Amino acid sequence: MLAGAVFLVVALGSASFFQIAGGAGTRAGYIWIVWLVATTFLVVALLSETHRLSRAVATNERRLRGIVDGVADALVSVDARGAVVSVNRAAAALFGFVAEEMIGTSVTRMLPDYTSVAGQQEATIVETVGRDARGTLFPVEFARGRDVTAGLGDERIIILRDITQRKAAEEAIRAAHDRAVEVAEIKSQFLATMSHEIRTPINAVVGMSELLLGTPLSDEARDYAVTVRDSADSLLAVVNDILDFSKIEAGRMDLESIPFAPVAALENATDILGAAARKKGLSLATYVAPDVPRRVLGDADRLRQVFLNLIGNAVKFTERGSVTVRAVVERVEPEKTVVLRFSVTDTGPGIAPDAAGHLFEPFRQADQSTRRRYGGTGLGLSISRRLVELMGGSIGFESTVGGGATFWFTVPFAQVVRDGEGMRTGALRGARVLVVDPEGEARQAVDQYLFAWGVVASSTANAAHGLELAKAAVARSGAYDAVIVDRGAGDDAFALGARLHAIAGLEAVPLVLVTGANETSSLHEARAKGFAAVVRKPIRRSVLHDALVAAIDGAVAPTIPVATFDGVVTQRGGDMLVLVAEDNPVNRKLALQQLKKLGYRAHAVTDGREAIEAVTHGNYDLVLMDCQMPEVDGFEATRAIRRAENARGGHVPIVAMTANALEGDRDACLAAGMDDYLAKPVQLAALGALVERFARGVRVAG
Amino acid sequence: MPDKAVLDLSRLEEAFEDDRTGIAELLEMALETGKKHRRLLEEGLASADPAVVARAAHGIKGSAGTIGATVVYELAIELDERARAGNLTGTRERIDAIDAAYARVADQVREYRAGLS
Repeated sequence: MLAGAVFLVVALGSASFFQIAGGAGTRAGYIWIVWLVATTFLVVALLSETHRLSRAVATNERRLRGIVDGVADALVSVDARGAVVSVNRAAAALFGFVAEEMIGTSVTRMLPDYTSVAGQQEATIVETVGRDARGTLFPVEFARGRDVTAGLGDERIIILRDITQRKAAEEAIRAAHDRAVEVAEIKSQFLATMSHEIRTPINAVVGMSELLLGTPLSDEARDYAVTVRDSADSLLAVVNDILDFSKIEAGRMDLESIPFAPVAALENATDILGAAARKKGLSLATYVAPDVPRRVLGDADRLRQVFLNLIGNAVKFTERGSVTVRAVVERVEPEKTVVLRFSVTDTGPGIAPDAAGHLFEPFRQADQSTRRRYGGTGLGLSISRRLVELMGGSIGFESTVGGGATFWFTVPFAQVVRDGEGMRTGALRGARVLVVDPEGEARQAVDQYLFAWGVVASSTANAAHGLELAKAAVARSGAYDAVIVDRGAGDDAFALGARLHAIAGLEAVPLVLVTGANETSSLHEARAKGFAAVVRKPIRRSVLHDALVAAIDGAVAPTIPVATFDGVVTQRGGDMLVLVAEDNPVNRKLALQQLKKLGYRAHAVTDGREAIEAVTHGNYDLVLMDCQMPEVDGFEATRAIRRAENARGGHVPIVAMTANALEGDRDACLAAGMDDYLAKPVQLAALGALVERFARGVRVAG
Repeated sequence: MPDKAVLDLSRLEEAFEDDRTGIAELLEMALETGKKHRRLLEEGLASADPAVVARAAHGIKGSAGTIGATVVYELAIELDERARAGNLTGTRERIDAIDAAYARVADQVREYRAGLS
């Protein structure tokens, strides 16, 4: 339309001009009017078009403005000189300005670090700092948008976002994490301190009350001392449980992998608990299947701990009857791995099904009355389960109320030597042995051992039946090579022995007496009554084997192993020689004085090098080693001494004296080859208990 | 008898029993050793070497703990731990505190000696 109007105006305009020039009167006037109208029309049309365009522009701008102002992020456009050209509402709000105040000012007023972040790639986001109208700094996210070309040059669009809250949240998370780490640290330090500050004095109480019991006491005083010792013992057990549990929970329980005899671990545990079983009149029997490997790789102490817990529970909860411990091979896996299955069967009250579900959970016992009646932390089974699981095995139990319980666990071990007793079992192959033992479990175990050794065995629970069997055997000219008689067989095992020897053809049959552990005096009596050997309960496979071989060969029976420590008090080793390696003269002098007071001889050296020298040339029974010494420290000296021992044999006990009772220190001490450690400043009683332990040749690594 | 809060002689008495001369000798020895470590502490601080400060503090801790100089012992533990963590801020203040506590121990030791003759 506009084009038409322009044409008309131009055409009419030129026509009227020629007409006027040609002088054509009214006609020319007419054309002129038409031209005027057309021109007017053109002007109006132009004006209206302009108006329409400008309205469209304004609408667009309003729309854009609306978008820009509606964006939650702050948008700022900055010119090449760094002056703010425009801002959106969010930007004004972010910095606390009125928008107009910002226009024209340097952007560094709001973004002090603008120059260092301005040059980055388009659409990448960095963190920088913003400054508001009051000068407060706060963290912002900075993104560079697309540059736009404008009048004076490029304008840069930047997008900003306040991240104060996010930062605060991040900071809070970090702080919470740091705090948690710190708390864990404090906790483990606390536990380390516990281990010393509680265990050391309790050990001293136990040690000292044992010493006290070795002195002449009135019955009443003895009674008190026994109570002190037993209470300290149970307190120590509780503390150890809690420490173990915390250690496992914290993932700090490290298992060893060194060769050990699983049978020894089991028998050691039954030895320890044998006294408690006997006190209650329970029979405690062990059976180890012949194919259980002699040595495997693993953690003997932890395995023994599980035994102690399970057997201890069985003894604790069983009022009459027996506790039987078994070790068998569950299966042999490739790569020389053998899975052993251990079980502890008792004739106790059994476990109700509703209690069974949470038996292995921490702090739970079968019921609350159990806690009141039997005590304990309720951690034992839970620790056992975790230890077994750490060893890669599983644990469980079968029980019926009133029908006793069997707790079992399996552990895979790498095998070191398989069936090591094979060489020796030949000695008994084909021998004929009669077993008279009223205790079913013990008899069964003996039978199985004998069977494994190739012995032809007859067994009975009854003395009279035993005599009949013996007579019958002689009658068919198959006299026994040996008879094993339990002390509890018939009214009098010695009488039974005499009657066996009275049978024609059995006059010289070797008799082996099976007896309780504490009846040491009966060895002489047994010999006098014609018995060739005495084996104490719980019966050890190797001891029974050797006793039988010796008895049949007519050799002197092996002496029975030394009884467990209860009741045995050794004299202080007056000839024991201790070396003190300590650089601090004050500590050195006190340690020497303390040892003197305790009745031990001692020498002192002042650093690690002298300690190595002294141990190499001297003959020390114990070394007390300060950890932190100048030049060669205690750890290094210990490592050097152990290296030398590896070459020439021997093992001098080395006890660390450390001023930092931290778990890491303890581990470092043991890792360096030390046997135990003492916290400084050294308490006389703790030192006494410790030297006492080593004087007896017992290693107790905390 | 010394003030137990400053100098607790029970450990020494347990070991030395009636040998009060022996105790006095050990106390003198502890003060001498303390001086040596005190000098080392100053050196460590002067060279801003936490390892040296820790070694000195450890030495002070050892002797003080042994003779039962409880306050010095506690201060030295703190200083030892901080120095081992590489932290030397506040060392000067702690040295001053140790000096003050040590002075009281020295007084007690003097008294103890005087009581012997």
